[in-house]
Amino acid sequence: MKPQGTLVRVLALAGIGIVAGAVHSAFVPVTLRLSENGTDAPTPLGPDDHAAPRPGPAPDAPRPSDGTISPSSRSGSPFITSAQAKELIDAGETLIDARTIEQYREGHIDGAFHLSSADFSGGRTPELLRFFAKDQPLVIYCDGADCDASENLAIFLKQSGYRDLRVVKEGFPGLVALGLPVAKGDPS
Amino acid sequence: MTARSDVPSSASTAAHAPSGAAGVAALVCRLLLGGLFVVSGLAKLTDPQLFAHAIKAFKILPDHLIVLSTFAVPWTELVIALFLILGWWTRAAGWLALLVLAAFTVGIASVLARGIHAECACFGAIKLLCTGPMGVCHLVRNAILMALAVCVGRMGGGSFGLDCCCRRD
Repeated sequence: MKPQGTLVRVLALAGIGIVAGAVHSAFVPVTLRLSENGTDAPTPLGPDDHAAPRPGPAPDAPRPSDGTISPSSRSGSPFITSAQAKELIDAGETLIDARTIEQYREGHIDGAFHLSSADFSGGRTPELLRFFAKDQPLVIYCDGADCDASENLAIFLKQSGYRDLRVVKEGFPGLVALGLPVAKGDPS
Repeated sequence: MTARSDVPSSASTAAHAPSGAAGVAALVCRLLLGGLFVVSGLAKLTDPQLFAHAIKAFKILPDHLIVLSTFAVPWTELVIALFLILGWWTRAAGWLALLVLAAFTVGIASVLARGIHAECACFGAIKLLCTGPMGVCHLVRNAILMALAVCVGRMGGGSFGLDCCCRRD
């Protein structure tokens, strides 16, 4: 077989894979970004969306007890600052560390649960979610501005029915800088 | 009646296709690589959302290419696997496997160089040899797989592939 013939075959095989993938992608949606109003976004956010997160609902706002979500939290941005996150944490809201388990062991915000996108692999529902109500605020953090793990986890949680998700854009470094206590060890 | 000059004779095909121990080695290499690509492709197609997030973590591609890659990569892996297992167009499948693995390796090296902590969804949720976030282990594993792909690309399908039966490649 001449090298040119092999090259043509390589291109043919790659073409088959790419065409099959393109057709498949037209039928199965994947979500890459959370939109500013907290719903799954079919189109990506612009750079400004990350640079200037809008304030979410007031941290001391009463949580609806009838299972519905408040208009403010429904329309609020899922992206919050470290200061807003600290207020929510101080108010006793649930904190989730979306980083790798190794990073969690090395140090996490005291009281944070560990959950990552990988826990949803194969369509599984993580055991931990049994303890969270669908309408309770979940504050999620990862490494900071360059990290997507918290947003990715929020997408999975959104698809699992969780409605009040807050992603801390400054992540773990931002929360540590505000003086929140750090703990080490495995998830309890 | 004389054989056409562009159709290889049995003797020339036998000269190109490894036989004996080399033929068995070619068979083992392509089945091993093909099997790994089946696992890899199916694992990614089973969990496209997870794989899309894994590609996003590389921070290399724009969103529309991430969506295309989420499906094109595993389908290409499955096409490679099918041809490797059948032993048909084996050299081409081997070289394409090398290209795919090289692309992954460059991506992982880029992630490491930028200090990004990200999980590898190379085999979906399955952790093959390497656990934890992307690291040197993943580079070494890919280097081994690339060596395997080079072997397949150079040796072809061996005595037991369709290439040999069809007198092609």
